[in-house]
Amino acid sequence: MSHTRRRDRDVTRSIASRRPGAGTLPWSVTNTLLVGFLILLAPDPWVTWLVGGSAIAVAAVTGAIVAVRRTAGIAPLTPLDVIAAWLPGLIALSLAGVGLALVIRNPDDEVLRLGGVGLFLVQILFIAITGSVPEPRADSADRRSVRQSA
Amino acid sequence: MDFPIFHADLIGNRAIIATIATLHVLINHGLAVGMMPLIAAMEWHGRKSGESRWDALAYKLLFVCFLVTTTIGALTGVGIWVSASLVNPYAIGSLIRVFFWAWFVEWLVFVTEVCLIVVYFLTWSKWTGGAAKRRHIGLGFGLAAFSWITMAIIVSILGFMMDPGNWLTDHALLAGFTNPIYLPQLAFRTPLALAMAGVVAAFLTIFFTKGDEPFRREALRAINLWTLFWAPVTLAGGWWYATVVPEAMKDNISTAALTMEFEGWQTEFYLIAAGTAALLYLVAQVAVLRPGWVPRPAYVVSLLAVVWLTGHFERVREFVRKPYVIGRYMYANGIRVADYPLLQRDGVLAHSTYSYPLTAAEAGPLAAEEREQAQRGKDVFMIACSRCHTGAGVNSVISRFQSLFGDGRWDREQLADFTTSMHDARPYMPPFPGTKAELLALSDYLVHLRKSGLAIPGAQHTGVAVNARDVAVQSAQSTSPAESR
Repeated sequence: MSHTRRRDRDVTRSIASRRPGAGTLPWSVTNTLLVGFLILLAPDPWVTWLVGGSAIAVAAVTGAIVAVRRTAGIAPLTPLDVIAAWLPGLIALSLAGVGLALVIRNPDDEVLRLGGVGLFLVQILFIAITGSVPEPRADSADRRSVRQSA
Repeated sequence: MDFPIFHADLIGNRAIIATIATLHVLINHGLAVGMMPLIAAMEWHGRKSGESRWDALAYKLLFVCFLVTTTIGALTGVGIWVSASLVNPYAIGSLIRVFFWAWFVEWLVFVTEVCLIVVYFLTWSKWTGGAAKRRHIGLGFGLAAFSWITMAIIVSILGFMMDPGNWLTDHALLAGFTNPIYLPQLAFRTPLALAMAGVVAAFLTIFFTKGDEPFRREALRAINLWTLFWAPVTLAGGWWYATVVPEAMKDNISTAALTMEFEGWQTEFYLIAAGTAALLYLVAQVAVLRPGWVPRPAYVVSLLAVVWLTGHFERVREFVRKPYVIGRYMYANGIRVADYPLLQRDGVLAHSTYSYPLTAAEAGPLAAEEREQAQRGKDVFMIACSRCHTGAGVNSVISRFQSLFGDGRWDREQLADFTTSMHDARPYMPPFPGTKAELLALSDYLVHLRKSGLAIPGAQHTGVAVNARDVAVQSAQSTSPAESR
């Protein structure tokens, strides 16, 4: 392995080790799965809306915090950085909403209902994982090293 | 019925068009319409961020696209014209009459697109600094626009073939161009092409970047972000498209997606297709979240998945419009709906210019009278059935009747009765266009064909004979006073 590549990886690891949110992943996953079960078992559409909507709201706040943190340490900030920080979360939230709507609007169709719960769960999990797992990403320090090595 | 009929009895005429057209669509969507804006965006981002590796990656992707689109892409584009003109010249003729100017403009746009991609590719390493680079990036986006315009014009023709809309009463280009399917299909195909390009680009990126460098992660994240953005838009466009497909065509979807043999598996098919699409999305989503978590084979699976889903969509789109090749205007056998009353009164043979002589093998065991009847039956088959059915190959007419009447003796009346009403039982079949006598001739020919097990050669093998009626008309014309003058 070349010196440059080793340095790239070392920089990445050091960044990853000090990122906030580390260690909360099991709890985030468990909480999300429980929300999924609640939605599946909810006797009333209002309960489904309440539980699912609350989960989406919490995920939105979490996602926003993660996105702000992600862009805060980057200099210079490119349009791609902004899009990469905000867009995946926005899409995930929208799809979670679609999943919830599928559950509520199709109480008699098992396939669509289960599909809706699956879509909702995967998208909320996506945001939960984004907020819980330290990210080995190329931020400004990493990027500087990439540019120097290029 | 003025053209000799080309017929490929082994794979069937449909398979020729389908193979060429599907390959063309995959290249057009994945490597041109969707990929050009992605490459231009990567070049722009490389300049904006000062990261030269973006530029290098974009150039490598363009190299692949340039190579494939200007060879296989261009050849299959011409191949669609050749194969469609061979197989169904009446349909192509009708479409050219309606869309002449649209196709003319499309041709101009296409030539411009080819020139632009050549210039874009060849000037990549020359237009590098300052204003020249900006101009080059602009060229890339211009190329992307022209790629999209070609698709936008062709999509109108594809929509017209499904549902001509007001054109049926107002035979004007604008009425045909603005058919009810046009915008929804364009709203589906545009994001589909863009998402597909993301999948292809991610697949190529794992070959064009080194595994242990941070840039690969950055590139894969950005490219998958592209896919992630366009995938839900594709779904939304697909939903809009599905809402405008005529109800009669929706009834054909299970056969279109699964063939007659497996049409009972519709739910399972939907689940598999939805699962495949979900898998595609999941790979893109995980790659955006943590590019390092996605193993390289996942990108291969994604590529295969998007090829299968798009290819299958094309098959379904082509099939659902049956029994028509142009909705409510022309049946799949190339006969106009408006001509049916005349043909059912006079018979198709009375209006057929050519006859397709029996081969020695076909005629061999038959007595003279039977031979005449088989000749009539074969001509009817070529006119009414051969666009979709073969004798001994794919979608063979014999196997279709075999599944209905079994291995025992076939009765000509029974075959004729079924054929008379088959369009009621199978709504994707056009009604039989000829007379009762022609139907019996066809039945006799099919019984003979089943016994002999022979393939049916097309006009390209046997040549054609000009029908006596036409010879008489031509000779009368040549000696008429008007002709003499």
